[in-house]
Amino acid sequence: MEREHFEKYIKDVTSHVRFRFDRRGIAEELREHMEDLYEDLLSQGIEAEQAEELALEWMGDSEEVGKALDAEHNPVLGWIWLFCRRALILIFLFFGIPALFGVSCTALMTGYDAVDTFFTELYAENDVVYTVDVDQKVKIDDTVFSVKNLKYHEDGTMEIRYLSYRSPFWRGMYNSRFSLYDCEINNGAEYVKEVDDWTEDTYHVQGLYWDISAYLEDFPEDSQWLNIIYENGERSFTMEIPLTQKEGEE
Amino acid sequence: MKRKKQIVLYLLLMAVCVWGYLWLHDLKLSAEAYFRASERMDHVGPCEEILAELDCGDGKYLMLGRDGENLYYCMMERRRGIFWTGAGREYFTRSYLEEYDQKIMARYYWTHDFLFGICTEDGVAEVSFRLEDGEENLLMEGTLPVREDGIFFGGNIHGTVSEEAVYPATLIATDKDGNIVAEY
Repeated sequence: MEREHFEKYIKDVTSHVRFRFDRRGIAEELREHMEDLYEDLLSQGIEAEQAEELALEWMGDSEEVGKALDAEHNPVLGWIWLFCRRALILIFLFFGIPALFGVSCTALMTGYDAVDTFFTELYAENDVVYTVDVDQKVKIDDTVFSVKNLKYHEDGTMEIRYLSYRSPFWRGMYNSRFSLYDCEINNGAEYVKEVDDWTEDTYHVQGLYWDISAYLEDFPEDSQWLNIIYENGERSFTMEIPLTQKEGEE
Repeated sequence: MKRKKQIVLYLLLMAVCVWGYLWLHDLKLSAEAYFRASERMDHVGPCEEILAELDCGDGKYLMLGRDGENLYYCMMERRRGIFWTGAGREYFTRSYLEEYDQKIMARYYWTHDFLFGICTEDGVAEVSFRLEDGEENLLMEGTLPVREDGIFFGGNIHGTVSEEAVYPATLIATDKDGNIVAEY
């Protein structure tokens, strides 16, 4: 319930606050405080009119209170704060929401692919002769190339399972990834293969990271090594993977 | 103090929103920044020398860089007025010439009227070329100087951009005395 004297007091106080956008909030706080005082006084058996006067008296001089509140609500800071707040809303609408949407979609796609891959592999026919767990990775520019494992299949195919993902705080592009294309694979003996467009591969996961299998046909079963050689000037690397720790081999 | 903290928080959140958007959409704040990021994506360079930069108008921009003996070409376009994103790129290498058993090859981007190429023979001073359309109609003939490293390039070749395909049908590399050194 609006009380005329209270409203006049509040108006006097807020008139001293130079940053006008804070006046409403201050007025509401003052109003609430004064109403609480008033109700308190009424509950002590004081009459309404006297309670109003006492509440006003206890609040203090409107000019003094107003100036004190003005000091607390610096107008320069207030304008900066207001500008930043409104700018944030606009920036969130035009940049934040699209970015969140993009990340969410990519995360969902990645999750879907990962789950789909898990169940596909769970029920896949097992024609693996042996598996070699690998934990080797290389960073090329902003991309990490990490070989997870090697699987040798009954038909003589060597499957190279690898991950490719961007290193944190990359300076390159979102979609950059490393692929085995343009790499040479050999077994340190007679087998040499240049991975090219004709090399069969499977993309298990594409999104926040890539989980890819490349298949090398006619890979000798008795090979002791699998070497991945990438030649590109200063970015060149050779990854030597021993095939001695074969799991599943009889 | 509460307001100061809020201002700092708002500024941080704005930076995160903008940076996240740029990050995810491969947008850069300058054409050169995009060019350098593109190099990293393609695992080339960084180019030792920027041979050409051309404002193609209509918010499009191209850059040609030299990475050793090879060329890296990147087209960019403006997005939302202040950001840059890609519109095509190519890593043109000497190995292409070896693969096709050629001593001189070139690329002509008809949408930007820009031509560049490499000649692997020594002593070449100039390259003459003919531009033809998809039906082998002659559009123009011209020449470009060839650098000592065999690289040649130039913009505003035809004087106009084209929506239809245009090709450098023939390339003739000559030395300073006019003797033909290589042909395509």
